[in-house]
Amino acid sequence: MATVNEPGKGRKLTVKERLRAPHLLTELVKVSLTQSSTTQMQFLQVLEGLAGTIRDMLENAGLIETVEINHQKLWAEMAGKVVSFVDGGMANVTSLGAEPLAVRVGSYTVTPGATGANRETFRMEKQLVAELFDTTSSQEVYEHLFEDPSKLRDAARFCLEVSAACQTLNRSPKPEFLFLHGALVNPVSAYADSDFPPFSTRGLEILLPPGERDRSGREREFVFVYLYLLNTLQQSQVNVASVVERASFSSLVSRTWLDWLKGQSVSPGARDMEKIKQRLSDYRISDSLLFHAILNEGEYLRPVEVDRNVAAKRPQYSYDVIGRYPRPMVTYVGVGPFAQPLRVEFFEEPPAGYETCIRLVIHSCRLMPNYAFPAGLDIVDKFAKVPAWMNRPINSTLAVQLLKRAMESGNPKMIEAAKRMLCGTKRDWLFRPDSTH
Amino acid sequence: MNDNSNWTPIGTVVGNATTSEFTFILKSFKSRVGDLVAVRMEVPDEARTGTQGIYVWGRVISINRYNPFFPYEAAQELSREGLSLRDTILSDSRDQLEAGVLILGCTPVNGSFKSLHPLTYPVQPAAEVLYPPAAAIRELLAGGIPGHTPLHIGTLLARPDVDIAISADRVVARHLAILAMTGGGKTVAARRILRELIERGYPLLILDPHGDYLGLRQKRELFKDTTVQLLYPHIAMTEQNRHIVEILINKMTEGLTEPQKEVLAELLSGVDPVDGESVLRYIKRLQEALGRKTGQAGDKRKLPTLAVCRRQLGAVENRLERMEWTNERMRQRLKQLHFEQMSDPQGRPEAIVAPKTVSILYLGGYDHLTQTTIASILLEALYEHRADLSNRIPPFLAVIEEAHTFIPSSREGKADVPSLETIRKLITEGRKFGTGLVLVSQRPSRVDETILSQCNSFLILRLVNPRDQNFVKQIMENLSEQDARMLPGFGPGQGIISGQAVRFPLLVRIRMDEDLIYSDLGDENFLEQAARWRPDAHAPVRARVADKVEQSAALPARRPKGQKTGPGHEPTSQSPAPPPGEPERWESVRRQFITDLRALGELEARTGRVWDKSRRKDKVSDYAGRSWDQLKGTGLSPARQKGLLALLEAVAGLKRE
Repeated sequence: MATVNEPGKGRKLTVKERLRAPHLLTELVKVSLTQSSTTQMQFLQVLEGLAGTIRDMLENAGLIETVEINHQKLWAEMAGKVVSFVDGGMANVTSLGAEPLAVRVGSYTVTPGATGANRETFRMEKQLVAELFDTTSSQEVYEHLFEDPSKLRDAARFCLEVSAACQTLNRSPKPEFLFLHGALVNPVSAYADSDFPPFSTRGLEILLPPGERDRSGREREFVFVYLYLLNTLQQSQVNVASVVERASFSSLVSRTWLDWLKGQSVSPGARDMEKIKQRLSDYRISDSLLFHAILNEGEYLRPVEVDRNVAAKRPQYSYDVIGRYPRPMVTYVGVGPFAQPLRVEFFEEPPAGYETCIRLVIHSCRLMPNYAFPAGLDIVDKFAKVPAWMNRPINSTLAVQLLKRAMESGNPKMIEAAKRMLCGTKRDWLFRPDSTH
Repeated sequence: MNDNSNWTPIGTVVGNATTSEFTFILKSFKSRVGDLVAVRMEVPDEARTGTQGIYVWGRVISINRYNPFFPYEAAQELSREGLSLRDTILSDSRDQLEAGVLILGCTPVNGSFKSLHPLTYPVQPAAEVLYPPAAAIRELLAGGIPGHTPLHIGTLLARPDVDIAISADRVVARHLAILAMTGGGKTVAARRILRELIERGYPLLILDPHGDYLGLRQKRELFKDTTVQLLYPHIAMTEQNRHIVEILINKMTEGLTEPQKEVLAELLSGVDPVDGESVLRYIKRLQEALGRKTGQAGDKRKLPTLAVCRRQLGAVENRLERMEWTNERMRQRLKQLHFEQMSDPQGRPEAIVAPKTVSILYLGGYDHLTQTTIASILLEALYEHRADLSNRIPPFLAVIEEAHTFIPSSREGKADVPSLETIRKLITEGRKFGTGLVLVSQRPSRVDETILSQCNSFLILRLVNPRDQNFVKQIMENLSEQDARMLPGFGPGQGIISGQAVRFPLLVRIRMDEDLIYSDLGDENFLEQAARWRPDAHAPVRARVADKVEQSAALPARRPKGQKTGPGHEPTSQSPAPPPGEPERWESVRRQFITDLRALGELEARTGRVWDKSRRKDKVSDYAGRSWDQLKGTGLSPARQKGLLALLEAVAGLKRE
């Protein structure tokens, strides 16, 4: 007999019960540790109070939707429909002066209910192994270097993933649903100033379809290329969504809904809503933590439009083009009694509707009930991931080459410098003083 | 130069590779365990100044398969929900296959594959693993051992298009062991090897306790110019081999003391064997001579010694007679086959071992001790003929089926088995004189470890018993752990051949010689026999007699001697003494017959009782001289013992009358 407290079997859990779930406690501890001792003492109490209040308002305003969890029914409906999952993997290459980049994006396309060799397809859609910037050859991705190479890497990765997703849409069989891993639309302001280098010809060849590669001037810049790729994906008439499982400190969604609730009858008034927002801010209660406390398994928030590229942060140089960026519809989905909610993002309401897509996400998560992450994305994540054994020899080769050059020079200072570069810290065992020094 | 353009790439080397093994990721469905694969790579040349291209050859010894995209908890959820994986978005097509390879050696890229060298430089990580075509594998295997005659035994387990041949020279001189559980295909394998040797006219001797090879005789028309003779044991006496009697007494009884040996030696020198006379007939004549000697003995102190000698001779005679009779009966069941009496191996060895001759000695019906005694006498004699370099017989190969009977392990407590020492001598010294052995057994762990480990080649088929598997691992130095794990999974005729008969261990599928299968000797259908069984004609008589006996037992007991009945002599509450047991009855009656030299048949005639037809010629004193417990040592069943007691009691009763 199911007990009333057993998750998913009896009544829904209360906020208090959800807050005592072991998986949530780690998040609580993480957040509360960054706060003063008084705040730490009150954290749980505040969170419990806020979560209860916000859930009450959201529920009564009809913003919390519930889907039926029924594997047999869902998979019977999905039979014969092509579903694709796209994710990227990056090699962890230690750079020693040069700026190597090794990213690949894979896709996993599957037709539930089908049999035979064509039921599922794995493809490495895009691979980018190059130098971010290199004047001696034509293997570079950007036309010149930027002060922060990690931004160059991130920008290339954003484009490559969307580019791979667009390529997957043109495959046969054409997918009816396409899921990406990570934010659907990333903030671009940090990569949009005038000193951010445009893509090289080779970079464009990899990222864009043949008819779009012959670009010049500003059209080669990241903001334009990324926007083109996002628009292509958005206009595809395919059910496109992205899933984010990692907790962030963002509270954009809760703030957006609280702002919306100000004018609703469930709200006591704008001043109180501001107080709630202030409380969330004071206690650094993020969306993932708040909705973990609010949402039950099978529940999701009605998606809300979020602007990741707010005008205030846009550089003047690219102000207009950033303004044309899509604003994703974001929701949080409760996928398991002890699992953090997933953030799911859409460009707009997909052709099959939010509910169908979210049911597919929830049931894909239910295939791995403890891990509570869409099984298809987990599969493509493993497929595209660059394993450690591939990283290791690359790094070893680079290290050996550096040391070899240093030793060939015969300069002790050069050798010492090479050792320090390889070890990363001067307090490494290699530099430990002994009795002779 | 070898062109490897048609060698299919099937995987990539991963992980740490050594000079003895490597691992590679295998493409789906491109190879199987047992396959031979190759890796092309560069190694330092002889002068260490440059490199040279080589092919590294290896055997796939394991393949691990796993699906990294299918987590445990997904399996649990599918089971719980009653879902099929294919109805969901889960993947089942990306199995990863990790194959382990045992390196066999290397050959130069630009040379012949026939000379295989040890690998002295590790396999290159990330190298491409190739699947060589059948022709390349054939060339590699054809290298065999240069100058040696090949015996074709079957194909590679994973490559039916690649024949496997073993070295005939190594088999006939350096011994081979064929080990497999029942149904594993050991007889099929032995027959395959024998057929190849028959076609080469090599002299063969088969010790066949179960008649597994009798079909060779029936199918003899398949072997042109070859004589296939079926023999039944017959130990013939000659002037030279009268010591056989002493051997038989030593092997079949508890032996003789020194004074008793002296009596026997005197007896043997006094009774000359007639050439060709059977040992059984000779022993009977010895018995008669000993009887006369006992009657004429002046020194009464020698009588017990003479009696023991007579008893031991009688025991040997009984056993031989009984087993001859059983063997004869078994041969009669195979009327369609022509059996000949085995010639004297001492006097006429060439009648047993000769070129283009297969001699099958059928030992069915003989108990283990006698089988081993016969084998010992036969093999010893043949070995001596080879060892004295007289050239009376050519080199030969002896196949010993049920080797655990002839060379039991010391753990079996059968250290005195006669054939043990003989076969030990053959296996250690035989190589010099051309007396090769093929040992066949279904229970390797029950075979003498030292002798078995002297075999230079092994063909191991299916073995399920863990003790047998461990034993095989101990005696075969080059059997890898992975190979050992495969032993219980082999199908009939599948196995691993290893040792000097091949260049490197190979997984094989033995070719079945279907034309040699002799259907008349198939397994008996006991279920059918039981269904058809009806009681014999005398069954009603036995039942009637048993009823009568039961009725008579219910009658009041006869008045015990000395006990009065009538008024004043009512039986007390004390129960009567129990009737004496059989041992006590035997003790009381046997004393009257200890010196009775009559044959038991005479007592049967006198009383009209039938006891045991096969023992009618035995002397009464042979049995009466033994206690009830000692009687068991003569091979009498409990029923026969009781019958003998009843017979002597009946004779004693007649005497009293």
